[in-house]
Amino acid sequence: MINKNEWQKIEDWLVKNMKKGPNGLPSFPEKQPAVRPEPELDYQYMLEEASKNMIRFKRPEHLIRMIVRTIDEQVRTSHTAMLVYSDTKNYFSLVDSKGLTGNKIPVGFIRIMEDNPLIRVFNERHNFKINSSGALTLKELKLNLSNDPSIKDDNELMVLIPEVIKQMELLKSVLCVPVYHKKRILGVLLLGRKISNKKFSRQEISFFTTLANDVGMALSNAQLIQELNRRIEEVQLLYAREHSLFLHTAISLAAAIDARDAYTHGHTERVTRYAQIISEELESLPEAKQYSNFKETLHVASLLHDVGKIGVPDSILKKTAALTKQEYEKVKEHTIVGAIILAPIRELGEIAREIRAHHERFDGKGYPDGLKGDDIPFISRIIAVADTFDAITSDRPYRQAQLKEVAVQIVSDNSGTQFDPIIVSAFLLAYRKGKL
Amino acid sequence: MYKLMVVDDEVEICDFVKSFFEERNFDVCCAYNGSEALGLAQSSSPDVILLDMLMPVMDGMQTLKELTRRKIRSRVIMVTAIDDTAKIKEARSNGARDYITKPLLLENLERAVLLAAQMLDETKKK
Repeated sequence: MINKNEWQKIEDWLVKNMKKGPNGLPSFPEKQPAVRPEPELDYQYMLEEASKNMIRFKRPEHLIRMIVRTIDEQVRTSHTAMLVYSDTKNYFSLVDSKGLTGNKIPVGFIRIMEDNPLIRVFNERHNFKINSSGALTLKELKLNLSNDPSIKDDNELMVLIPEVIKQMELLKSVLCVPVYHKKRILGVLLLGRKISNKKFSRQEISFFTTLANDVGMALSNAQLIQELNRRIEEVQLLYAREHSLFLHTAISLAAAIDARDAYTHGHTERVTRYAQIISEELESLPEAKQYSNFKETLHVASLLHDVGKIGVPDSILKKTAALTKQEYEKVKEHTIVGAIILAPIRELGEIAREIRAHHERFDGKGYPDGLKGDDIPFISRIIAVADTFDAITSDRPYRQAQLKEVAVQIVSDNSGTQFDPIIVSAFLLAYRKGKL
Repeated sequence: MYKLMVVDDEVEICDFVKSFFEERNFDVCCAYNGSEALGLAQSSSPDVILLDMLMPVMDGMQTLKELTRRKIRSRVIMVTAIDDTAKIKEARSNGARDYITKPLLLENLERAVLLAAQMLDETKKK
């Protein structure tokens, strides 16, 4: 940045080298580039800096802080502050403030309501009638009140202007620059008198209005982003709620299945637990990664794997004697019924397939479709092991519970025939770790 | 010239309010905590005290109770946080004449202090 001393040198050089014009005043030498070393060029530079910074700042408060600091240091006012409207609080308050002791209005100390005359004059755009720049100076307001005939005829302004003057005096401000975005007032830049007691130049006021426009842009962008984030949060919350409702529905449904039969009581809960324990050894496999959410799909599928038993009559479910062929066929149907029940539910579409296949065998001799090997969904293969392990280790109408060791042996013996060897080895690993 | 005492632990607030009322022809002194306020109230007997509720160590309420107990005749205006209705009630029953809620409206600050000073005049006349 070119400092004042350097400007002075340029100015001195130009004065020395300029030809005298026809009226005796200095004029620019011909063919010389038109350099106008007036103080407003300083502002031009500051403005460019501010605009560059505006892009750099993600948060409008940072831009505001830079602007307030720049004005305080460069323009040297008794105080400088930025009022900004808060949508949540419904009033204007100071975002940043600087200045001399006693003149500086502490941040957080005051609030300005929307119906404050100072806000109204900007909101109703009366300020442009007083000064085309939109900025209001105390001096001009007082002058207009006593002299301007167009204001004398305007009853509303005749009432409003003294109130605006009063507000500016309360705020110790001699210049107020509105921050608009699309004609909506978002904030006000407050400036106290210059320490030098000189009046603000037109260039300075135009500099402040440009800065205020930048702030308006930054504030409205930030508001848009904030609003967007709020909506995203809302959608996420809705989704989380719906999702939790869905999970609880699955749990209730599973509890309803269990409750039908004292013998299988707790079966669903146990199978879900076993399946989860086995799956912990399998999480890194590509088969697990093909699910968008492996853990949850497994959890819900295990909870609902027997949901189709709703379609199996109690007389069969609770029968102690051996089942007839027709009865056994009815029992086998629970895989298909389960899938049919769940298929229409969008969130459970994937799970319906896993539930239909939880009685398939690795060698293709299972039901209902006789799927073989990798054609059986991965989760169904896990549930198959967990399901069998629980069936053996709990009491059934037709036999008593067997020891864990016996069940482990049976599962192990059926690896590669009834069960997927990968799942069986994961099962054995978990068993050896004492998890089962 | 009326005497005003500003009690707030925030120096910037004291400075601003001091200068604000000096411009309105008040003689203003500042205290930055409760005990300082008690001493200053006794030595300089201000007409009006602007007392911040929220201060460390000895808060506004304790200071107010002590001022009342010591029969200090100044008119006390409490400065409280918005929606602190219970505190406002308690302050009133302990001798506070008025209250302002923070962040405050400058016109309210001006009005409350001027009113308290004028009321003092009226009681003096009687």
